Amino acid sequence: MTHSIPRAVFLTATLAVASLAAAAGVGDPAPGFTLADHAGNQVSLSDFEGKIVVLEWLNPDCPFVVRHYKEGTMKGLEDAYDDKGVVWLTVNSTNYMDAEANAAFAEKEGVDWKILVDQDGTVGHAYGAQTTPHMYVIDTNGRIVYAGAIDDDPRGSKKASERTDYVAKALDEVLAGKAVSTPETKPYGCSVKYKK
Amino acid sequence: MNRIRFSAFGLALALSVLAAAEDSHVRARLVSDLEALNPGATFHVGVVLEPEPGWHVYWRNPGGAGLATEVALELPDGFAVGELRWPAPVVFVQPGDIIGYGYEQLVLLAAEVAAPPGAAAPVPVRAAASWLACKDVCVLGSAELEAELPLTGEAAAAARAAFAGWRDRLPRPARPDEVSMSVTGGPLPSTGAAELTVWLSWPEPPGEVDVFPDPGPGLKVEAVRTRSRGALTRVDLTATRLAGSSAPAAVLPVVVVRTDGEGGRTALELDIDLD
Repeated sequence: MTHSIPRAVFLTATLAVASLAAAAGVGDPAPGFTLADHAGNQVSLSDFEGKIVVLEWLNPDCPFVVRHYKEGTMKGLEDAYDDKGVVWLTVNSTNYMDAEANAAFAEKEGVDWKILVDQDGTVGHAYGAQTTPHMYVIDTNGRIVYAGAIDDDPRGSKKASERTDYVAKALDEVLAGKAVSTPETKPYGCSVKYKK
Repeated sequence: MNRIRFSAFGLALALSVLAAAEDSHVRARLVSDLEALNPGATFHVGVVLEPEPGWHVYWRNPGGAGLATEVALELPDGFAVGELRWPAPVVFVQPGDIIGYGYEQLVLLAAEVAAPPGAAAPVPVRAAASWLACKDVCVLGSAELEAELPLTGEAAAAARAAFAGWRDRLPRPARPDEVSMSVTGGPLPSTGAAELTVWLSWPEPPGEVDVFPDPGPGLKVEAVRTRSRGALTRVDLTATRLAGSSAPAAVLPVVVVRTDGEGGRTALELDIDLD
């Protein structure tokens, strides 16, 4: 590390992407929000205070999401951990998908949990959601303890025995009162289709 | 997923070097610059991907979202296939300021191949390519291609066009007289984030400079901002060593691309020291 190059000439530079760095990350308190779900009911993160919460970023037009719903990944996890008191909230920050579009998806896929409508992307930006899917686990203290990919198999080409299911692993660890061993991974998927 | 079959509809004798799937928005073509198989010859085999206008495919680091393109090559026993070479990508900003790295125009991803002594033509070769193509939506695509080398006719002409100027678009290690680098803001903690500033000092004003980070597993790089003044380029970035990763990265490889006034691009490889 050297300081040989003068830096003063750059001091007036303003950095345009400061908003990115402001998004919450692992270890941070999960940003609070209130959104309408696909049935029109207001849902706040604070409704689930003291519970483990999973946030799943959704875009039904994204092939990665389509594959995971076809394979039953989300439904399987939601079912398995619902019994253990884990709350599953799906957030759709796709700019063109309103409550009706999300309700149609829920109907088609048999989603029996809440899909939150975030067309203006506020909640997506607060969490720094970049991809669909992009997954977050919030612990009972309201802190983000996992952020990243659903698993380590972007192309869906691995056998279940060879795959690491990051969200399931994080939930198992949190439920066992342990620290999450892989708290952050690089998410894969389509970019979130935010409002321009 | 669009899986393209090459032995369809009774054309069993026609080896297909070309795949154009109507739904994937990308045309894929197997190419090679092998013209004559001399003993100990080295040549290149690769896949040209040509996205439709407005669509893009991704670099090996896709950026904040997306999926790295994959190309797998299969040659007969004894042929040694090197690493896939990636021409310098471009950067695109997707809605929500999500940065992507990839290709918006025709790109050739190819590897060097060394023939064993005594190898004889024709050389059968297969290539499997898969990619994510995005415009307003994203579509997964793939192609399985095969050919016998040397290529002939139209396939050979298309391959010659694809390889023309290709080497000049490949990043190469930076020479000390081309650019010198210093880093401030480190070291990076063993887990967690640090803001790093990389200073690139050029022999003359560099033109436009883009920096493409290529972090290994366990390292996250975000918010790369580049600004040049005179012959000095300041690159700010946020690097994070992810907890739970087995081998903490000591360096961050980057590809630095200079674009001159005429649009000519020079791509250089540098390693940023993180400790």
